[in-house]
Amino acid sequence: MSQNLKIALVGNPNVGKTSLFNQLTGLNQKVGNYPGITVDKKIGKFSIENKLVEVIDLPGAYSLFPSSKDEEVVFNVLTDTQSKNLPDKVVVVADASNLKRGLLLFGQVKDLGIPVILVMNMIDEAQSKGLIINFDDLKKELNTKIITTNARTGKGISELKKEILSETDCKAHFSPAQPFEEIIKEVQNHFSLQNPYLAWHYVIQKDIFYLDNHDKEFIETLKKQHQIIPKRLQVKETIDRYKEIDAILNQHIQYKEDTQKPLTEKIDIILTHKFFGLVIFLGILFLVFQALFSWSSIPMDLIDGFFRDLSVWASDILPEGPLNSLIADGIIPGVGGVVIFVPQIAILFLFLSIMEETGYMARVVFLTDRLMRPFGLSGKSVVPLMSGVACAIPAIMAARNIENDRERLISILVTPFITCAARLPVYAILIEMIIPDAQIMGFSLKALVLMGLYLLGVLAALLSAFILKTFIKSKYKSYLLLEMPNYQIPLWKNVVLSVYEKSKAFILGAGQIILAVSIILWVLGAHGPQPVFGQAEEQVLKENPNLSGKELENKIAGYELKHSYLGKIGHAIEPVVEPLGYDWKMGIGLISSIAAREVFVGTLASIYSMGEVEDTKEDRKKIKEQLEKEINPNTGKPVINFASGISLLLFYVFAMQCISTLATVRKETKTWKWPFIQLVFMTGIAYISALIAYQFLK
Amino acid sequence: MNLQYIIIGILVLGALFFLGNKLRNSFKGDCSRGCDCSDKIKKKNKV
Repeated sequence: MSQNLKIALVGNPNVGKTSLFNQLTGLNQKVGNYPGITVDKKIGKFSIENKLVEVIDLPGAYSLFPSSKDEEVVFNVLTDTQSKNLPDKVVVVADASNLKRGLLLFGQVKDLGIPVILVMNMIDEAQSKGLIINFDDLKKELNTKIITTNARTGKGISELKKEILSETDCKAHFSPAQPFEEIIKEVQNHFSLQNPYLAWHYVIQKDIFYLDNHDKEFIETLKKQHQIIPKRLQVKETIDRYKEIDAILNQHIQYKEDTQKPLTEKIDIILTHKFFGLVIFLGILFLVFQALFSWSSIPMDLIDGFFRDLSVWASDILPEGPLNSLIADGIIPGVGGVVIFVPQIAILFLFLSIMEETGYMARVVFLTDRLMRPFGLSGKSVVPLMSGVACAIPAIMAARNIENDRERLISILVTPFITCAARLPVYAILIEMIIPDAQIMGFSLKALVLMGLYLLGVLAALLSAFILKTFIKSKYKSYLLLEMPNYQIPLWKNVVLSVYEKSKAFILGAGQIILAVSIILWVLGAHGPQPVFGQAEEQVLKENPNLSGKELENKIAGYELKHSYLGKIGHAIEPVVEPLGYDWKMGIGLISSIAAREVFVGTLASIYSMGEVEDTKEDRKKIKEQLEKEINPNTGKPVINFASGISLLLFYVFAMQCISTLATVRKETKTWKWPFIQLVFMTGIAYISALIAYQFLK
Repeated sequence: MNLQYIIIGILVLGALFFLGNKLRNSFKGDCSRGCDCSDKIKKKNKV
């Protein structure tokens, strides 16, 4: 089967392009009921009638006059005639209830001379609101094919697929106003452009990103000669097009009289109220954190028990020797230390997905906009900050839809402070161990502390933004222009899929890393420099001549671990971590966290089970019991006590431990300067706050 | 016993190779947790 066609999906933000993309290609690209989720092009394929169709999903754009990085992507794909991404056909997706804005983009794309199909998405919703469209007349008037769809349910998708294959008219109706005819001709001749509207864009755009400097200079000279002011012409074109669209819509679209306020507006009176809205948001957050503890405790306990039994079983059936020890004491406890957190990750993403699907996330963006401004951030920064709860990498990329360079940079730099899903396992286990099972005014203390840690991350992001705004100057401020989507019942298929995808990514991502890390740790822990390592029994007996049996075996195992290569590395870094209240084993855990934060607990589980002999089922402990029992040789107290636990929590709240995030910041800012500053700044704050906390609380 | 050491040796090489690869990918901005992209789409996104 050969590739026959390339199509691009374009449309305003949050009209359901990605849902349509998923329906067409069968992929599961992230969707949500708020604008700005797609910030880069995504490619998928489907086949129909033995032909292969490549589908490019583009970020949302209001017009072909880009004001942010994501809108630039749309402009480049549709106008760069030399690019291999230039589509053969464009599907303009419009929200059927808000056709006016959709038709502006539709008209511009059509005038580029690319064959266009107009898709009216969410048609059921629009019709239930009283919209009556005369489709036949509208098709004639717009000279296009119109397909109605509901991308959430899949309605209209097969018709769209068939339409994509059929012949589509590409007659453009743009003709430049008389004073500009000459300049357009010159541009057309210079660049060998057939389409006058494309040449028009070369003239009225601020920048044509894909042209080389020589061509850019040519255009700038022409602009000067003809005294072109791009912004003014862009505004004029937009106004003219809207006049035309208004006339068309008045003729072919009617609205049934409805005096009742829509349900969405009624709900929004409360949910976006400047006081009650915030109270409800905090209440929802608390509910999420409460659920994270209460709903997950039983499955976590079952998983923990399962891995302990698996360890015992592996130890029993495998022949005595190093492989037995590697699997039973290294790999299984390590992997168990990661898998145990799957229920909490699933619960977190269940709530996030419901908030996105219902449209509540857009209200959170609106509510928090006001709070962001004093800190040098605009409402648009809220989208990356909120996305940071899942993972900092797509969140940093989401900053592409911020027009103002300073605000975009600040958003990129502070987003990693937001608690991502990878920190949750560390918070959860530490809170479980150091915070008592108490209630404050009926609220669980553990849930309150967890919520406090999330809020501390937000506070750190805001304060850092406040500091950064004094160093990074900007001439103008951006504003938040946000269209509130209608509330909708979540599509449970999307919710389940999102939870499944996240849990799978967690198990496969962190699970593979801990598997590899435990193998390396075991080898380093089971071997050491000779002759000291090989004289463990001799040395232990010399120091404790009266020891025997189990006690002696445990002492020898402890001695061996201490004098192993792993012990040597741990002791080398101990002076750095000791003032924070950690022993050398925790230091190793911190280093392994650079591979993935969530493997910290797995690493500790693996190291602690290496330092002792576990002959019977009763000897083997669950992860939490193992961590509680471990004594820090430097202090004589449990390794995770209140002081060291708080210190560790603070370290994880602030520290920049994610190489992928640093690399993404490098990609987005095109310099290593900012990721370097970020690394030093965040890790510095983490170290100092952990140090102060431990020294005060010990 | 020798067979056990051979298996462990292979596992260690595999683990080192895997972690090295992960580290190299990290510097390209790839996330270990998938970060909103299914593996399927990541592979298809090579534009």
